[in-house]
Amino acid sequence: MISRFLWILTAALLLPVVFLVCVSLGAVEISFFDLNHTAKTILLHSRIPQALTAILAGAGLAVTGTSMQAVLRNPLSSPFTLGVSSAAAFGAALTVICGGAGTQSIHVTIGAFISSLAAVLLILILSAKRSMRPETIILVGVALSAFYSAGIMLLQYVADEQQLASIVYWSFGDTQRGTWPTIAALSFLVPGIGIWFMLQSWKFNALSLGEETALSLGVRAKRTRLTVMVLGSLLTAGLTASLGIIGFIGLVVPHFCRLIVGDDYRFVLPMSFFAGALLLLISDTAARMVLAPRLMPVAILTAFIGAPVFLLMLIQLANRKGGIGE
Amino acid sequence: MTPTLKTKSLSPSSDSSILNQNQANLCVNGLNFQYGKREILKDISFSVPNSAVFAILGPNGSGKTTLLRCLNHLLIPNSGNVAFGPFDFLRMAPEKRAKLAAYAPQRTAVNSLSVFDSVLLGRLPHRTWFSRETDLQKTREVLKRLNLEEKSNAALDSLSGGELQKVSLARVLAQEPKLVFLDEPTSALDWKNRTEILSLLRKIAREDGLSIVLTIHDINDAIQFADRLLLLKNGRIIQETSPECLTSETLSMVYDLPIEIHEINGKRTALAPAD
Repeated sequence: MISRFLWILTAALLLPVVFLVCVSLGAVEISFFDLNHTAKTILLHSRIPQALTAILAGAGLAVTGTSMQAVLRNPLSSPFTLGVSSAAAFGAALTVICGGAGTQSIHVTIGAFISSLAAVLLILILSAKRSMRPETIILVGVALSAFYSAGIMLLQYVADEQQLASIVYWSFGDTQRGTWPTIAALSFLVPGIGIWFMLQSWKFNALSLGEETALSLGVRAKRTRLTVMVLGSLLTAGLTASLGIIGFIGLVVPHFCRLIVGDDYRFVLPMSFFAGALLLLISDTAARMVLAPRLMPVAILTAFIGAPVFLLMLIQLANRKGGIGE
Repeated sequence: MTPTLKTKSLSPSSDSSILNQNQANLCVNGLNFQYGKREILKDISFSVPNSAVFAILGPNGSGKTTLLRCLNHLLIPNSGNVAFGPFDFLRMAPEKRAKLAAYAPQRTAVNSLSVFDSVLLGRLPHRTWFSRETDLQKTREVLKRLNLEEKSNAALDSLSGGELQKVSLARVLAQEPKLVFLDEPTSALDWKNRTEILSLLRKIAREDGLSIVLTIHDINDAIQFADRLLLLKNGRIIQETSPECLTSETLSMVYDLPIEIHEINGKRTALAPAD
């Protein structure tokens, strides 16, 4: 019990320290003891907004992933389970083709957001016909993702060279796109939705013992599932529309946190919040430095690191479950 | 011969008269359940008296578990009603129902949640987000009652099947319900634990005024520990009776097996033929 608190506390305290280290690192080393005009400009216009975006996006994706895994009772669920990412990519591509200009354009962001909202709505309508069973939601999400991917391929086929470049570039999730207004919006949404998820942790615990147990404890399983899917997908849609697709954080961090603090959602959720923030912040800084002075979109790095880390964790989990004692 | 309550009339006056007559707590009336086109439960009516252990017996596939699930609204019956005192059980808000009735399924999913936290979950219908002292107190008390104190910090996925069954039961008791539904609560327990748990259930029913409805496979356990028996076959009630009045003929008919009931040391015991 004590050690679980300690883990969360450590992660929370580590965050500001890592933040300071991360913004000082990069193509231009910045020392906080000697801030000249250039350094201030770099910090204010590039590094600080990018680092804050990474923190908020990481925390948001991680708590959403954890909560979706909880209500769908499926370890492979992630914020993109409902097909939000492909829907957003499709919306962005469509806007680019229709003359929405460059990746940074607000039109593309809006197009991506509307498209992902439509996907969420469609999935909810389709799943409602089959009484919102977790399997149904997941399968409908898979089918819809495939459908949107086909749409993206078609759009890429008809796009000219410049549009094609925009479409492809958009899909690389990149925290550099986090402008101050985006950050302002996210700093309300992410903690707000995060806290709401944390308030549900007893219900999530009940659901983890099975739907029947949860129902007889008075948990409205369907309603909880619906609300979590809608809120989580909205947050993901907003994040994806403004930053692009940042994969693996929402899938890996929940599992990582369960390895550390166990399956009790009272602890897993806050741990995911801070661990997600830390992981994306560190990955983001690493991504800035790998190809320095060129900046690499963080999504490429998270996908590269995410897959092997995920496998390692699965192996460790298998060892632990198979072991004697414990 | 058959003391089954069969009241087709749904008028409130006749309902309350049943309540008065038998002090019945739970009244099930004309319950039907279909899965697709298949009828699983047909015209089930019975009532469970106060402070009693009520055992549902029947061969595999006779609809025991389905019946329990219908009673607690985990499955929605196609027709019929379930009344608990003045409450219409099938139309109650789940949060309210959870304060009155608890259910332990045959199996629960397991994870690394500790036994204590998992039993504490039973307080969910009564609690706020933060655990109050009463919630912790009740949890400790229940763990002690079921001899689970030593396992308090153990993870659920490190427990044996029997221990898990006791934890489920502990969670149900922590819920402080008036009515308890247990789906084969003793199926994974050894003889000693089975006897202990069943006598404990009987004691709790008496002392706390709980009605306990359970499904069970062991006929002799049912005869020894239950106050009333309900015999199901193919989704129909064959008989509702007391253990003293259970006959070999009825049992043989329900199980399609020549079962005999003998008095052994003054205890009615059902014996199946050796070959």
